[in-house]
Amino acid sequence: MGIYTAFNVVVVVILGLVARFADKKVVDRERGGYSTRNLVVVAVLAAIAGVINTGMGNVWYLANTSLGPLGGALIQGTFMWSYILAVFMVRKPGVALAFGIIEAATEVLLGNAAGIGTLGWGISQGLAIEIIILLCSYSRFGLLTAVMAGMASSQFGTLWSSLFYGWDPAYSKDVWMAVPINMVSGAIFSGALGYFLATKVAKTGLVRSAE
Amino acid sequence: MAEHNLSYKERGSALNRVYPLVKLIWVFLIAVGLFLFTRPLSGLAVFLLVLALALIPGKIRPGEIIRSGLVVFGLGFLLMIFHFLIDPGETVWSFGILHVSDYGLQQGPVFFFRLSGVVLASFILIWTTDTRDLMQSLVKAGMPYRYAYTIFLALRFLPLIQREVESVRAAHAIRGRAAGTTLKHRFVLWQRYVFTILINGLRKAENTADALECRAFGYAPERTYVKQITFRKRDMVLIIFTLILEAGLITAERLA
Amino acid sequence: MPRSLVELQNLTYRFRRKDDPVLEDISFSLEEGTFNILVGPGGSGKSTLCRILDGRIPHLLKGDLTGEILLEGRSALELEMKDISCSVGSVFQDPETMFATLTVEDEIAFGPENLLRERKKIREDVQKLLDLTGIGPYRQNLVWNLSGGQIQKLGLASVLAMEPKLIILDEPTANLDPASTSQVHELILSLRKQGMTVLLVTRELDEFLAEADQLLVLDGGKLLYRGEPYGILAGKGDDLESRGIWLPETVEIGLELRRRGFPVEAIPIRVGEALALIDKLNLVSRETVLTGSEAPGWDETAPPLIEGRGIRYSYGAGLYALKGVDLTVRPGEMLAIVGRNGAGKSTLAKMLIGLNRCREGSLILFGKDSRKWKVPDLANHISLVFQNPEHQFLTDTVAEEIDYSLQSRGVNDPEAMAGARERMLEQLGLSGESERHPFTLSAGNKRRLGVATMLVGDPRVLIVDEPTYGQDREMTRTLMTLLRDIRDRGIAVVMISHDMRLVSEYADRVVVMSEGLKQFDGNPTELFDKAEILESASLEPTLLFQILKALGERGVTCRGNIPSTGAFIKLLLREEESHG
Ligand SMILES: Nc1ncnc2c1ncn2[C@@H]1O[C@H](COP(=O)(O)OP(=O)(O)OP(=O)(O)O)[C@@H](O)[C@H]1O
Ligand SMILES: Nc1ncnc2c1ncn2[C@@H]1O[C@H](COP(=O)(O)OP(=O)(O)OP(=O)(O)O)[C@@H](O)[C@H]1O
Ligand SMILES: [Mg+2]
Ligand SMILES: [Mg+2]
Repeated sequence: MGIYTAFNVVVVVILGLVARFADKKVVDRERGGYSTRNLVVVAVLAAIAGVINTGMGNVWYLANTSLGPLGGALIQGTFMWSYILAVFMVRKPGVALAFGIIEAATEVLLGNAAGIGTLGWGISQGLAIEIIILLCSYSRFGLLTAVMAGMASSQFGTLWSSLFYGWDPAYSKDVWMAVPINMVSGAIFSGALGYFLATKVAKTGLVRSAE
Repeated sequence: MAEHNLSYKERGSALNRVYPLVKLIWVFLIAVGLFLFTRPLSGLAVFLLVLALALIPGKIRPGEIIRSGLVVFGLGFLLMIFHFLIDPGETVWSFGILHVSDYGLQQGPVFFFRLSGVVLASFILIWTTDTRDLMQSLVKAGMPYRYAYTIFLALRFLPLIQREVESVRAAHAIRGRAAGTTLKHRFVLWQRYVFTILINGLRKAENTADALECRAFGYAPERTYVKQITFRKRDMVLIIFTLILEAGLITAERLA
Repeated sequence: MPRSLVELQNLTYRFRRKDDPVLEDISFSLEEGTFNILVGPGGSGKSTLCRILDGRIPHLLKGDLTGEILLEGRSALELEMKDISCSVGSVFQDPETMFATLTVEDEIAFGPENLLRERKKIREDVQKLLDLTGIGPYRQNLVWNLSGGQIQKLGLASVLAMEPKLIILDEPTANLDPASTSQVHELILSLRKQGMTVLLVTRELDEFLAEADQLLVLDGGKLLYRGEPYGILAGKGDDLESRGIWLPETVEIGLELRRRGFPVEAIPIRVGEALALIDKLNLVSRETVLTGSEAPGWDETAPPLIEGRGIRYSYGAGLYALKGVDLTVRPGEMLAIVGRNGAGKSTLAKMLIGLNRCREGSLILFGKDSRKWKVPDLANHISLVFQNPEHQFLTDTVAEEIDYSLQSRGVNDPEAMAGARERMLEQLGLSGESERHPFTLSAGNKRRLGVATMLVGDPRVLIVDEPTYGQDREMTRTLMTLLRDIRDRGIAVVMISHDMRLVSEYADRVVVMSEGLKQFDGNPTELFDKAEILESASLEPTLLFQILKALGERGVTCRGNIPSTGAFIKLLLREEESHG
């Protein structure tokens, strides 16, 4: 478990540095604490994502418990588009982690099949994204950052799956084999999709927070 | 979400009256214990404790537990089988290419009880706690109320979103037959679906944010609450008893 | 000597620096303890003005604001949002989005709790407001289980709980049934009696206008007129009418008579005043007979498109939303379905298009049992325009929206598609908008696009749920003319509405729903004669009908269908000529 944890941390940091130095889309850093509007945007996205992820989660639990880490990996990336969207709409420190917790809490309250254990994913996935945008000084919000954040959170979330379901990387090769799959699914279904939705929402000009 | 029958109800039970934060901490305690155990028997003991609490001081009917827990227990069972088969160790039985190891036989139930216990404990929290009270107890524990409220707001948005989903689904149905079944087409449909809900949800949320400000949300660092929740010392029994049980079980595991 | 609570001086506002101003050079004041009505067509800037008064602009919404806003003599620009929120209470256009909590009681307490009021006082206030608004029985209800009328009242109660000095209501009665509308009106009057200042924003004026101390008229971002209502109507009534603000029928009658050269000094607002005017001008006598058209506009013998017998429907839990309804729809008729909030109108509409399955009772659609229809196939024959058209949009531009409908009807050839699309956009006056995102259209155009996407399939029945939702009367009139054209092509049009005036002017037949049952089926004039049905279904007759009825009591004979003030005046004057 120790090696796997270290590996994950390294992966997140590398992805973060890639985003930092390769993402050319630099914007001014947002100032000030959370406004009420920030909080409410987080809440509503958490509610929407909570509903979708609870449904998606059931598929994932089934794949993960019956097929192991490899089964879950393909779907693993589909959970974090909402995190990316929230981060791109509220560009302030702490929002990724807070969103992770609140989204997970919504799932818990909806009664999903992991109970309070869901918080573990919320925290780990949120934390990974938080590290990425922290490394980007909360001022890079291009597609590349989104994709890196998607990959990072998808991969980092498996730490908790390993712990919760007992996929010990020491003897289960599947855990290592799943790494590239997790990353690709995170890049596409979380990173690219989240970015795509964020730009699309902003383009309509109907949502003030997205401007 | 439509079928989520898992919700708070005032059952006049003893657990209803326990201070919400105590229950929350208790759920975490149960989870931590189940993570530390390495023997199936310890898991079983804690699982039985949770079950007994749900039935007796929680006044949850067995039917409710089974209905809400069925999926979880099923998943736990699958998880157990999976561990039987993949965990390393001496082979005990084999059926063709499938081998069941002795370590797997021990780990399987550990994970079954871990998953089932954690989820059932979470369900108890939901069944017996008004979310508003939980939020208030978090505030009393020092969390700034604007942040605690965010979780609560997410809940308030759930029905709104559910209704939005229903209308969008109906609208799509009457806009005619979908012209294709390819994966791309599926994705386009999903994205339109989610997008409509997102946009409408966000616009309503921004309105809500303005309304909160107009109603003096964040007026002062504190606020009053009409409905008071009070901490009673005897609520701690729940935590202390669980702590002792878990410490005992862990010690027993070490000694054995 | 009344004091100004709010005073605006030369106020101009733009959403962004370079935009055209949404509000331009607005000056007015609201005196303490008065009841003010702000009226204007859709998109004239009413809601924006509300946002300025309650501090959302400029504190939450940036933009370019010049001019002075004085709140009790202090500049609102220098006050903080939380200070403004203590003295100005605002009920938003869509009060459902205002709610912050889960239950009715909590919702009312939310504001005072934020203000750190005493627990005991809050509890007393909540009780008082529950009594005042009459939602006491629902105190434990979840906020999203309330009916439209209850939501409005809760919005009002939760704002009143903060004890504001000024209360702003942005279109509080849109989508409410007539009885709930009257209740909200009574509530407003009782607030004024308690010394509160009230600003009511609306798109349409009714008899309630007579109660106002000040009328403000906004159009195109400019404040055109302000002053005492009778004065404005006398001086500028004709202008208001031409700007698409629909006035009460009583006022229309007064204005029309004046235009025709009768000496009308004061324009009537109340029914009594209109009657007095008619008396004074000697327009009617005991022998007068007013005969409207009587022939039904549709073919009563044509085979029905829809035939339902004893339809029942339940959303579960044994509560029936429909409890045995018979309904027949024939080609070429315009049928209105009316009834109080929650009577089951939308449920019935969804049943007709197959979204709700008819399990109990029989429903024959186009000669085939409804159970044998699949929703997408049925969609080729019968279309529904939703209460909120936004739910129906699936694509990113207006043009794509039409294309999608064409495609799902099997039109795939690009040229044929372009042709059909252009024709449809042309017909509905949307040609200039074809590249815009559907969500960014004005409320009226959204509704038209909703109709357009439904019309391309050439349905035989078109159902429109609340055609007036989000529209001013001018847009409604255009839309209703369109629906009439559609009907004249032999398509059956079914509209669901709370607007009795719309029903009496346009509908050939009206069905009244109440508590899941059909209470009445016939023409609008007959309906307004049946007081008990109106009462049980929370409906009210139009002002015009009330006038006719009062004339009837004085011995005037009214026959047939007299749908509008125009028709009424013509009949009235033709009589006059023959007498004269
Ligand atoms: N956030 C915004 N950004 C840019 N323009 C806006 C915004 N909100 C409203 N507008 C525009 O300002 C004008 C006035 O809108 P407002 O909502 O105040 O009108 P209204 O009179 O309340 O209309 P309705 O009767 O439809 O409620 C409209 O042309 C509208 O398109
Ligand atoms: N999806 C649903 N699930 C459960 N109950 C519902 C649902 N939709 C409507 N109802 C209930 O069915 C009844 C009829 O509702 P319906 O929407 O048909 O009324 P309506 O006549 O259209 O009202 P309004 O004038 O407010 O639009 C109401 O009591 C409502 O609460
Ligand atoms: Mg408005
Ligand atoms: Mg309806």
